[in-house]
Amino acid sequence: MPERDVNDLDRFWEDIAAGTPPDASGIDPTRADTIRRFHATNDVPGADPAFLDRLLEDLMEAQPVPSSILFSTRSSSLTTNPNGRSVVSSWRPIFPAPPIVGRRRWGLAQFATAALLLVTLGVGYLAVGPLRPGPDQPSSLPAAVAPATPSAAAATPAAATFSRAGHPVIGAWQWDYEPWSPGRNLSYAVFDADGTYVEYHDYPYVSIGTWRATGERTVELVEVRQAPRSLGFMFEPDYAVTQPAVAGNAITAWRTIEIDASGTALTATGYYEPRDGDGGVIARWEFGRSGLPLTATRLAPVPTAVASTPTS
Amino acid sequence: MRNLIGVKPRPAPTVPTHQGGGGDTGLVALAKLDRRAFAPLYVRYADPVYRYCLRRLGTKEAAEDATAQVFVKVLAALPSYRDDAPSFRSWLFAVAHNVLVDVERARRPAHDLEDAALVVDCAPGPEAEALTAETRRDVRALLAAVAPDQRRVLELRLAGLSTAEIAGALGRPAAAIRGIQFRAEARLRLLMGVVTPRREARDA
Repeated sequence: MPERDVNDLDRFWEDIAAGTPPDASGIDPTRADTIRRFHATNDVPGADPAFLDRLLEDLMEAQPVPSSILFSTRSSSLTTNPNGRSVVSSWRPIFPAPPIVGRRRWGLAQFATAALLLVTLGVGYLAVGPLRPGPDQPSSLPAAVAPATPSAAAATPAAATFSRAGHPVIGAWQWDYEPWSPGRNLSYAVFDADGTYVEYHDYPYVSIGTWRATGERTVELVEVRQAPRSLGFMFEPDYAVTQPAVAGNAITAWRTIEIDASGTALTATGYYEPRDGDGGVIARWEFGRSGLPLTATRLAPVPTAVASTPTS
Repeated sequence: MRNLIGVKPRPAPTVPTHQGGGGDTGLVALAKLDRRAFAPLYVRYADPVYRYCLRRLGTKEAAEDATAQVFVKVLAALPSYRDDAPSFRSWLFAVAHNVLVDVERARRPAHDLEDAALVVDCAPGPEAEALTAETRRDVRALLAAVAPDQRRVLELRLAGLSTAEIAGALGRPAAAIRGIQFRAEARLRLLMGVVTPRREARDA
């Protein structure tokens, strides 16, 4: 079948399925009639809106658990799957989900643990931090410190008065978005001395942003995160860049960051806003979980050995 | 679209167009960041997936269970979704197809025998004449009267997928899908009485 006929037929099927007036030119009238009549039989009823609502709520609130647990209230094929296939518990959001109301008991335990940890770290910090003589502080300081002040109202005009020059945030860092599960959700970032911020995640996401110093060891960061692959449409010869294509489906984020006394670890709090295709804010979610801030560790440059030129 | 969680699923029996399916990339990328951003995709595809399941399974309860399984699995597997798939819709219906295969296997063996009978009974036969005017307008009766591979392609066509997307969902080359579809059309022509069996035989 010629390619053009194939495309015409494909388009005809798609138009019919979408309920748009189909273009039957170039298609055998008998085939077109068959497809039309077949689609006319497609009168299966739609889903119960109450079911769809309930399922959406379950999906949004549930942790990645086997379907047999998630839907255990109904005796169904979900629990009798003979293949024993279960849902892969591999949901790994770049930005960790905030606590869920339905997990209050677990949340309470986490809160208690976090509180204990923070008190311990806070006491340690207060005991040692103020006595710190300078940048050559003892190496026995805890790697993490108490979280920075929540940043919902982080933008402080006075912040710009601090110089970026020589700021300890400058350099390359490895973020851990789920410090309660170390190493599970990492990304890599560079704070440049000129205020530029770039972050790359192994998911196809890249952040660009800017930072400013708010203190000797504190920083504010704003960023826009986007999936560069969504720009693939630009490979088309007749592409058109629309505002939603460039600005939509992005995430804007704000963080306040505090670098520890050693200069090799930092913590951050803040929030992020997923945006829809029109650039509108879908929601505002806090970074971290149960009071635990994000953490990052400094990436040290690896010296490369210079190969000597063979002389013989 | 300010409050995704509160969005009511679209009640109208519309099928996403190819253009709509192609516009999912950004939403999928966003949903990888947080499952709550998956809501727009769910709203877009929950009803087509449910209808696909209902056509395959026949009962509301089974279709609801299967739909739930599909979206649980899709959410769990979303981080592994790659942009080089034909489309998110193709990937979604591949998951749905696999779930339905599992569900159908779990049913009583009679279904397998029924399928086996259909495999060998894919040529025009007396049952075509036996289809009443009523059953000729019943999509499930029509789908039951075509070979299983043809049925799979037609079901995905009804769900609005393109040839490339169907190929992706079923894991077969597009050329094979076109061949199956061609034979399915010929079979449907006969079953629905679009042309007489004599004409059908001559065309074949």
